[in-house]
Amino acid sequence: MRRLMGMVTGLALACGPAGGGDGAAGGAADLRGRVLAQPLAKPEVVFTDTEGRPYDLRRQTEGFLTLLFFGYTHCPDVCPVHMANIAAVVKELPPSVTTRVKVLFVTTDPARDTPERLRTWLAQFDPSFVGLIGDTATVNRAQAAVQLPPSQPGEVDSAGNYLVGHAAAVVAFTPDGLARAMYPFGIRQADWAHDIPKLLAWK
Amino acid sequence: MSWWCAASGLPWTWDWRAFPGVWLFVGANALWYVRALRRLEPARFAGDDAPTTRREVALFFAGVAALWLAADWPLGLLAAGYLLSARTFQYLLFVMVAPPLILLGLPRWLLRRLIRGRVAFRLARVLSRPLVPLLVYNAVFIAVHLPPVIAATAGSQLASFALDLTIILSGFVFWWPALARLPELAPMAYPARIGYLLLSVFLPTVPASFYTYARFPIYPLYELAPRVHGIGAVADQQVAGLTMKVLGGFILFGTMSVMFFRWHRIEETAETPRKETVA
Repeated sequence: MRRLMGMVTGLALACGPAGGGDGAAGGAADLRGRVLAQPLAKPEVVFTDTEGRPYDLRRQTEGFLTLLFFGYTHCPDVCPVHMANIAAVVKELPPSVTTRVKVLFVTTDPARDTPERLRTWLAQFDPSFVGLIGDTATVNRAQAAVQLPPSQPGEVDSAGNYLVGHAAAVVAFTPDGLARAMYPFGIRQADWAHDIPKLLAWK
Repeated sequence: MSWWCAASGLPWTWDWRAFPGVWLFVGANALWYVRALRRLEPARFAGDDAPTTRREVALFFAGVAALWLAADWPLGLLAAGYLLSARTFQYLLFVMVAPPLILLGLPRWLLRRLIRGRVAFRLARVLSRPLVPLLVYNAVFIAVHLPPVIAATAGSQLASFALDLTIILSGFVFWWPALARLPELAPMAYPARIGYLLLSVFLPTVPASFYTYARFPIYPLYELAPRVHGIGAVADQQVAGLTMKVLGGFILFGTMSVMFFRWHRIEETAETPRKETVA
């Protein structure tokens, strides 16, 4: 499963505009994430949050450092590790920093990720994490906008369970609304703690 | 099927898994002991040799059981690729529990047979003095806790086996002078043995403190491993630090206390005739 995720992410990053990673053009020189040579615009999509309200991605994250991840709550490895690591760092950083960060988790498995399940699952990491649901077309459009491949459900086993292949990278949008870096699986808490203040200060 | 526990990156489940290499390892130890007692135990004993007692047999098998518990599913697998706290507990079983039990379970006549060769006797004598065991134990302790060593060995069953074996052997080396089973090896006196154990209390404090107080996880293996019941990597690391310090300290200080009281008893016994003579 992790290999599949890694391949999907690797593919996405290889096909995408990921650059050499110096980030100097943007002003933050030493990010530990993979800096995009050409920043990407925030997708113009409207999801539904776990309370059933429309969530306009651009409007409701305007001015925030936005960490966007596409995953699913039944994910056995990558998704919980990413969320746990980001949550652990968010708890460690001062409120002056963390109040300017939004973590968005868009489900790639809307059939099983009900709003309640998504809310409960995210709350175990950090109640402030935003769970978002959209139809397949909307989710795929959002993924394509940040040059991630569409997610793909795997085969259903005899117990009715299945995995969903999805990109394992977290996309980081600086407060100016542009995606500047991607964080593939393997990024560590110390890396997040290093990069989050830099992404917030990006000019 | 895997033969020894190694990190796989697969999600953790409580489904039982077989590790035949562990059974073979544990079984070989038990079989060797039983055969040694049956075939080699002499009919007559000289000096302080004595027939094998039930207590010795029980201690030996308790030590083997500790090895089994540490190396097999679930602890072995959790330690290999999921939880640092499990690895720390496993380390303590490998070093602080199994070796002393096994050494105490070996009757003196068998120990003497094991070191009757010239090289073996010399080695046993060198290891009865504190310097070499302290160096070996501490060097292994440091090496097996280095993040690059853990990262390099985690995914390979053979490397994991080699690492586990090294840890276990370091435990035997560490306890050999402290338990001092054979008087002909000129073992340390009780106060020196207590001092030896006391010296060994301090080194684990270093990683234990890092584990307990580090802001972020130290080992990528455990930070990026699939979560076990949602236990966070930092919380797991803190439990590992406390386990190392509290449980490791408890075993060492407990042993030191026993040694102190034995020493006291010996001193008292030696004093009594003198007092009677004076009276």
